[in-house]
This record gives sequence, structure tokens and C-alpha cells, in this order.
Amino acid sequence: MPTILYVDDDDNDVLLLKHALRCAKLSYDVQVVNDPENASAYLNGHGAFADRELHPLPDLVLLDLKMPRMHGLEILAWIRRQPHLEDLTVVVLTASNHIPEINRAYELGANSYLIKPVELGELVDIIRGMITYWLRADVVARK
Amino acid sequence: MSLSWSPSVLVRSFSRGRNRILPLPSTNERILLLTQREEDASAIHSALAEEPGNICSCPEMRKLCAEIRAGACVALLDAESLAGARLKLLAETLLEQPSWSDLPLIIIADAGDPSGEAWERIGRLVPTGNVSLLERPLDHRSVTGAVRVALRSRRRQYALRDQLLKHERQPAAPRVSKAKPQRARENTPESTNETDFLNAVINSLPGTFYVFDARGQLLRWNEKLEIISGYTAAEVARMHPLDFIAHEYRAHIAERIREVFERGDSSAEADLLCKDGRRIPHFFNGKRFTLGSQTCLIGMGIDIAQQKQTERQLKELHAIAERRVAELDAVIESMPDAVYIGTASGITKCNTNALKMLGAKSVADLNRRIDELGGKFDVRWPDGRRLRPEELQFSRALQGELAIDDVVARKLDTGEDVYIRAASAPIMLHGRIVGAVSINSDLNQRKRAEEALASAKDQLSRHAAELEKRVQERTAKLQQSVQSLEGVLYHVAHDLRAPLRAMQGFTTILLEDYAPKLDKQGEDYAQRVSSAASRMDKLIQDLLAYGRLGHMALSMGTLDLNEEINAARNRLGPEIRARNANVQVERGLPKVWADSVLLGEILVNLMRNAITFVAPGVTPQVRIQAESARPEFIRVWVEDNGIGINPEHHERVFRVFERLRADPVYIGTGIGLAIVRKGTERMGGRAGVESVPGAGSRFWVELPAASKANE
Repeated sequence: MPTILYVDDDDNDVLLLKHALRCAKLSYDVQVVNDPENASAYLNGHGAFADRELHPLPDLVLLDLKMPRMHGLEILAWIRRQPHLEDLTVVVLTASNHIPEINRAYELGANSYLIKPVELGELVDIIRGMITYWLRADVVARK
Repeated sequence: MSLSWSPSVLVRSFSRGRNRILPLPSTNERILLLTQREEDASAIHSALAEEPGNICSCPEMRKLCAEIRAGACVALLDAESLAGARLKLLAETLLEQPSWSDLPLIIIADAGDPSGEAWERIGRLVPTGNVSLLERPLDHRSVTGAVRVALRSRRRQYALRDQLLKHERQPAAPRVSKAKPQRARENTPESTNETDFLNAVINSLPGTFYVFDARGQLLRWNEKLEIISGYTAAEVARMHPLDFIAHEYRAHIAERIREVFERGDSSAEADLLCKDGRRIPHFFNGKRFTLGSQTCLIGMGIDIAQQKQTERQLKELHAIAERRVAELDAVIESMPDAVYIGTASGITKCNTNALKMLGAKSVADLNRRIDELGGKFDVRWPDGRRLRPEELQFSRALQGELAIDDVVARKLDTGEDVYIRAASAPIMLHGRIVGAVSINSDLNQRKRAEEALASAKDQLSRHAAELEKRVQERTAKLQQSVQSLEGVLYHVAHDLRAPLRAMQGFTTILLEDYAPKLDKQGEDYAQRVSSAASRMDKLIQDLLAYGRLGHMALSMGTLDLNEEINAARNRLGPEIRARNANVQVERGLPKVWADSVLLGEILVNLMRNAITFVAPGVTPQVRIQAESARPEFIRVWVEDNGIGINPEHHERVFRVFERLRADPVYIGTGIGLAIVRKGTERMGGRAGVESVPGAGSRFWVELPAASKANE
């Protein structure tokens, strides 16, 4: 079962995402960390995340941007600097539709940028489309 | 008083070198008559018809006086003729009469009148003579009586006169010889020759010659007096010396004459008055001498007309010269530079500027020999070398050179150094150098001005730099504040929407997954929470869009209105379909000059507005067309069949959050039209509405027309 690492500080959004996945009839292992520092710890297998059985390396990272202490874009930049994470698929999922931020995210190596909709139905549609696309076997992540 | 004069004998003219005896005044007992009344005249004529003597009628006082001077026995005149100036004239004439004369005057007056004016007039004559009164009416006897008495009196006077004459004639001869006592003694037998000689001397004098006594009786004069004055000898004989003097000088001359008689001599200048009224300036002198027993004034008058004129011309020349000098002084003084003029022996003229520049108190400080002066002043070349006296511009100008140099002079008083442009030039007169003039301009002022200019420039560039710095700072601050504004917007977008998503999301889950556990009302409430959250999200989105309008960067370009409207219509597709609205767009709309994003926002909002506010049950009908508005602008009309807007609200609808309808039927955020207006304004256009309640609205926006100029 593919693993998704969801980085978001908002519990509501986490619940809603899990609900959307259920609604989309997609079964994934959703690992959640609520801040960028934990995200890097997870990806490096440090601390609480050392056990790769329990915390396997994700197939896809869903990244919120506005989080406490560290901005999502910083962790994105950090990911892209890590040789073993170079090809990790990172999709930004955030509330901001601020154009400069969108541009900046792509510059730093985001694979996709999604805006969190208010309507739950829309969220289900978006998540379904996104997962279907990025986690299909024939989509080759960039090298 | 000695009475030694007789006009009949002694009044002589020296003309033609011989004594001329004047005709005697009439002794044939002339009776002079002056009356203004015919009956007086005829009464007198008839009364005196038998009497000896001729009646000489005079028409006026002047004639009467002339006749008195010519000689008369008696004068009859009426009191009426004695008024004012005429009375005075008569009195003066009587005063002029020889000493022996006491001319009888018979005044004719109305009986009883003497108490009046006439008496007073007669009274004024009394001191001068022999006055009697004849009262009207004139009867034969009283007239003849009065005249006879008068004639008798006059005859006695004649007798006295003749005696005097006899007495006079004897000392006359020795007096002539006494004038030249020595010659007279030598040539006693030649007494006639002596007189001729004397006459020759007198007549050869360059001026008028006169002898007169204390009473003013002219005793002798020369031919020149007659020639110059234009009076005949006979006339001169009867004239007073003052008669020859112009009126304004008479008092003065009378005073001088008195001086001669009292102190011995005097002289004066006065105009000689000729018979024809001409005046000739004269210098008169007089000396007292005694002629026999008689004290006389002897003297000469010299024509000084020429001299006077020369004097006058000299005076004029002097005045002109003075004026010229004053003008020159004024010119020199008014010059802005320091000016001085002088010769090798010193500076004689300078203006105040020169004194100031050189630090001298007065021109006297400068009026020294130039070589000495040069030593007194410290004048240097710009390189600091001191000028030798012969190097001074002024010295060189005195040698004929036009010398112009920039030098530094130290002021005498303060020791301050003055930068001077010294220009000196020789002053030439009739080909000779008579002096030099120096004009020194103060270069200090220019130097100061240059310095001030430089410092001003400096300051200006400093200010400019400062200004630029400030502009940069401000710009940076502004950018910062814009950025912080954007930051706020970002936070709002992110943070406000997160709870909304939760509200919306969980109510949706409630409705979908827990529907069996909710009753009808619970479901309704959950529905309301969900839609309220949706609306709030929409509001935030619109607000953000509106806020961004203010500072978003525009990229203007030529846009096809038809294409842009279609795009907007597609964006609104779900809403249009939901409302079953009919949107018609005119074909072939013009191109406009606009920002594509902004124009899209504007069109979407206009269309949404048009399909939203319709009465329940009415199918929205929207028509979009365009026309050329004012020059260079395209007006896009969006016409609907909505509920319309009251005219007083036509402006309010364009403001943020001005939603006119509280009715939930008309859902909207109240920002759409504000975006329309602000968006068009940012692109240089404007927006408005024409509407009548119940008859739909016609919203319009004006956008710049696309043209070659702005492409």
C-alpha cells in the first residue's frame, strides 16, 4: 500500500483529507506530521520515525505551506537538497492562491500545487485526480 | 538858500562849442486855464477879454503842467481837475519851479463846497504856492479881480528874477576861469579861449557830464548827455537829474546825490532813461564842489552797457561751467565703480565708491603726488608682487597709456584686500595730456558671487542627493508596506479560510454520513452552517481580489472584446445555466486597451450582477453591446431586465459592501460592482449605471480604445 506523508498543522484539514480519501475509495497509508521539523525527521528516519516498518519512506508528500516555526517552502527546498529525496513527489496543498507563492513553489521543485477548496466535494475531486495521476505506475517522476 | 540860478541865462548847451541862450519863458503874461466846465471857460474868456495877456486853454493836467514849465503868469483851474494823480503831478511841477517862482493858482470851485473834498485837495497845494479860490457862479468882477491880483503877484516875481539874473551873470565869468585857475591866470585876456577850451574838454569826455545844484537844477552838461538821452538842450534845461534815471533806481540815486552834498562824493550804477524809453546802464559819479557861493555836484556818467553785458555773459558762462561741473560730479558719483580723476600732483575728484574702495576718508587723502600716493597704498599684482609707482595704472595713463589690469589693493582704513579691475585712461585736451581718469571695479563682489554660486550649486546637489535618498527610502518603505499588505492578505486567505473549510467540510460529512441520525430541522441547520461558510469564503475571496486591484501590476494590451466576453461567460457558465439566463453579445465588438485579468474580473462581475438581481420568476435577459464614447474610449453596455436601481442609489452600488437588498434571494457579496469601478479606473476608464426601478439597468464601463498610439 503506497504511503503518503501529509505535512499540515491543521487537524481539521487532516481529518477532511482522510475523509476525502475514503470518499474517493482510495486506500493509502497516510502518515501525518504537523510541522516541517517533524517532516524532515520523518524523511531522514530520525527519532520517533527511525522505524521504517512503522514509518516507511512516502511515495508522495502532501505539503501545506503556512505552518508554525518553518514555512512549507523551506522544507520543500530542504527536500530538494537531499540527494536521496531528489525524486520524491511533493504536491503542495495549501489555502493560499498567492501567485508569487505558487511560482516560488514550482521554482523550488514542487511537482504540483493544489489549493484547498472549501467545498468538501471539490476536495474529494481534487484528491482523487491528484492521487490517480501521481501514483499511477506509469507516471515517471522527474529525474 | 542862495538863489543863483536862472534858466534864461545859465542854462547852456555846450554843443557846437558855443554858449546858447535859451528862449526866455514867456513874460507876456500867459494865463493858463484848465476847466472841465464849458460855462467856466466862457465866463473867464468874457471876463478877461479886456485884460492883457493870452489865455491858454489846456485840455488836461499834463498839458497844463507842460505849459507851467514853459512859462506862465497865472493858472486857473477847476477843483474837479485836482483829483488823485493829477493833483500830484501839479504839485510836483510846482516844486520843480525855480526858486524865485511862486506861481499864482486860482482854483474854481462851487460856492459852499470848500468844506468838502475840493478844499482838501486845494489844501495840499497850499504849501507849494500861491493859491486863491474863485467861487462859482463866476461873475465878471470877481474873475477879473482875482486874475489881476495874480498877475500883479507874478510881475513882482519876474522883477525878483531879473534881479537875481543880474547878480548871477557877474560871478559866472570868473567861475569858468576859476575851473582852470592857472591857465586862466596865464591867459587872462583870452577868457573866451579859456571857455572854449573848457567846453572842448567837457565835450571830449567819454561819458555824460553834468553839474547841478542841491535843488537838482542842472547847471551845465555836455552834448553827449543830449545825444544819449535824446532830449534837446531846452528840454534838458528844464529837467531834474532824476528825470534821467530809470524809476527803480531813482530812490537809490537820490540817496547817492544826498551823499555827495553831505560827504563830498559818491558813485552808483543805474540805468539812464532816454526820452524814447530806452535804458542804458551807466556808472555815475559825483563830487561836491562850490561854484561861487553855490554848492554843486559835478560828475560823469559812463555807459557800462557793454561791460554789463560782458558781466552778464561771464555770469552765464560761469553758471554753465558750474552746471557742467555739477553734472560731471553727478555722473561720476552715480557710477557703480570707483572713479577718480587727477594729475601727477594728486587726485582732485573722486566718487564715494572710490573713497570706500580705497578706504579713504575724503578726496583730500588722495590729493597727493601720485608717486607718494602709490607708496601709501599697497597695490599688488595677483601674484603678490607689489606695483612700483610707475607701474600704477594711473601713472601709466598720465604717460598716455590706456592701462587695464586686475590687481589687489589693501584698504587704507581696514587693511582688507580688495580685488580690483583698475582701468585708467589719459585725459586729452587739445592734443595734450591734462590728467588721467581711473575706473576701478570691485571684483570682490564678483568673487563673492562666484563663491556663493558655487556653494549654492554644492548645496543644491547635496539636496538633490538627499532628496533622491529620501525618495529611495520612501519607495522602499512603500514597497515594504505593500509587501506587508500582501502579507496580510496572504494570512487572511490562509488563516480565515481554514476554519471555513472545517465548518463546511464537517457539516457536509454530517449531512452525508450522519443523515439518518439527524431529523429534518437538524439537517436544515447543518445546511445553513454549510452555506454560510461557503458565502463567507466567497466574501473573503472577493475582498482579496478587490484589495489586490489596488496594487497589482497591470499588463495592458490590445484585447478583443468579443473574446474576453466569451471567456467571462464561460467562467460564469454554471451560474448562467442555474438561472437559465439568456446572455446576448453583439457581434463585431471593438478592441480595447486593457489588462486581460482585470477586464475578465470586470466582465464577470458585470454579468453576474446582471443575471442575479431579477425579480423572482423572471428569466434573466442580458444584452452586451459597445459603442465609441468620448474620443479614444469604448463604452461597453451591459443591459439587464432586473429589478432596477433607484437613482439615489446609482453611486452607492459601486461601493464595497453596499448591498441594497437584504433579501437572501439576491445573493452576492456586494463587492462585484466595486471591483468593476476600481478595475476600470485603474485602466484609465470609468463605470456607471443608467436605471429605472422595475425597468432594468444599463451598466456601462468605458475603456481606452485600442489604437496604434498605445500599442
